[in-house]
Amino acid sequence: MSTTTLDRVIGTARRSPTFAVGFGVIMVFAFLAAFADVIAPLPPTLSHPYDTLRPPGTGAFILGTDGNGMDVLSRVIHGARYAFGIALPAGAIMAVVGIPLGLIAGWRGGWVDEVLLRVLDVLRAFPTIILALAIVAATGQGFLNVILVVGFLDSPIFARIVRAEVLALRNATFVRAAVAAGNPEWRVLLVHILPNAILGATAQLPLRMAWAVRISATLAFIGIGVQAPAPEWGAMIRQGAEYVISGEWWVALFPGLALIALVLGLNLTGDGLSDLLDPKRRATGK
Amino acid sequence: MRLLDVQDLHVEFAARGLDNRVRVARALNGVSFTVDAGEIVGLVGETGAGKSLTALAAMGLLRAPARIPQGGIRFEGGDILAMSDRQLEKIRGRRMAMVVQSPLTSLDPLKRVGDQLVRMQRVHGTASGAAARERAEAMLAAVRIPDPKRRMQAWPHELSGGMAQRVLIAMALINEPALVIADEPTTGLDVTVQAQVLDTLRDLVLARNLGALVITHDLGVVAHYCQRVAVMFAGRIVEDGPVAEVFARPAHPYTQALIASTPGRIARIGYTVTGGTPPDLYALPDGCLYRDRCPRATTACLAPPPRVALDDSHGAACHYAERAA
Repeated sequence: MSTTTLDRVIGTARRSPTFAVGFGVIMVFAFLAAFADVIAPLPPTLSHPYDTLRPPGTGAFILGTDGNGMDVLSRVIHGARYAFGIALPAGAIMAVVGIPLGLIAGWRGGWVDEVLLRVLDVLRAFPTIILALAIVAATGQGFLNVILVVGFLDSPIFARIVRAEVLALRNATFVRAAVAAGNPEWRVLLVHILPNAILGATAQLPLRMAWAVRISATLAFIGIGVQAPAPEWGAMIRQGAEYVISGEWWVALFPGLALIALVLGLNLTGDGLSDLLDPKRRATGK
Repeated sequence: MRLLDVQDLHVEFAARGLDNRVRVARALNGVSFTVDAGEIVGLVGETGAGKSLTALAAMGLLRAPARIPQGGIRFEGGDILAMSDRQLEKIRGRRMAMVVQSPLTSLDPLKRVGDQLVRMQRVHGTASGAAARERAEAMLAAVRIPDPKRRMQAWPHELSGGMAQRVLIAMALINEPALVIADEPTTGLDVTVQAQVLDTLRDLVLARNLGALVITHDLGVVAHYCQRVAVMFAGRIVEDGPVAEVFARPAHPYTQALIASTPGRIARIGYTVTGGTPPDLYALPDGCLYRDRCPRATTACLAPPPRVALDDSHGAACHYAERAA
């Protein structure tokens, strides 16, 4: 009996509704980001000087306008681009830097492990937000800098997760059996240890990408990193915060909701992934 | 030429104790035995006697802090101890295969059974693609796994212990090695499943004219499945010979005690329990290592016992071997 793609999608959703909901949310935002130019009713940085701070539902401005007279809905939609623009490359950096480090530290052990761990400890000892703030402030406020800082700051987490797994797997019977079966060392490491060791890290990736979205929004909120009038959610919330007291709540609320939704979606995906990746919980086809 | 020829093998470990002094544990103290094609040799002894260590050494798998200060291991004429890792990798799983203990944790949990069997062939270049899958299926059938086609798709956690052990045997034999080393292949299995698995292993080994070294602490297994037996005590082989001969006329007091303490078929009148513990490997005495537990020990036993040949194939390392037998 052949399984169609649809069967598979339904099967996945059934096995982990958490993953399905989370992934669905991410897909919605990905769609918005990909087709922002078509979906957004207005250009995100087009200023309407005579229509500043209009409440939602005024004319063409479905979610109102901000202090510069820019359409809030269009800006929220375009903001998804910034969120993915930071989360995806930062997540890639975390994985590409952290996983090999953890693999080497766990497998080699000895002084290699010791040195790597201590360096990672030092990195983790700083409050991340302060460290990120300091580094971005020192290296310049570009978009690229935010990505690099967020990515590198979080790679120790992956290194640690993978290292802990490798340590446990190093003496696992099936790994020793693989050695006894004549597999060369690199093969044991890449074919048998790596796939088993990165399960935890894979499930962690969406969670850390959610963190990346939050931290980049935070940096923008305190005025570092992406700068207004770029339609970045954190920057928009900062702008809107000034108007909340005077009653213009919509400027800050809608980018805030978008941020919450995407972070929630990423977190749900991460939780669901850890269920899905475990072969013991994988339903076997009839 | 012998298939596997282990001569006077010594293995020791240097370990740093809590008092920070380095002490040397002498785990193997002159182990000699051979395995020929077409025979199953049993290696028996109590926990800590050095059975598994001997197997690891034969596979060239010993790593620091284990040291081999003395002795030789020849496999198909080649010197295992002199080989590079690269050369050993070519032999392991290809010419000399191992069936390890604890079947359920010895399979990679993320790879389907069939894929692991196929990979085994790819690593050694014996077959690939469709041919490898076909052989894998045939091998599963050979170890009497029902519905091999479907089992190829199974995940390791879906197998029972006996089934997993059969898969491991299939993996060990798929590259048609000359020697199989089975290290307690049936620990943790039900007695009935044990018998099935061992029957399978024996039939395959004898049908293909392989040599097999079966490590066990179960004398029943030895009596039933092996042609020759070597009894280990404290890193030495204290008695060796044809199974029927050793069981009928055990010459070493340790062998006698082992056989006397076996319940059931061998000693029908009940069994005795041997007292004492194995000697401290960190401080081995000179002379016979069994003398503290031996009922017939005399001052002669302060000297190391030679292997006394009782006939051309049966021998025991005891000063009084001849009198006892």
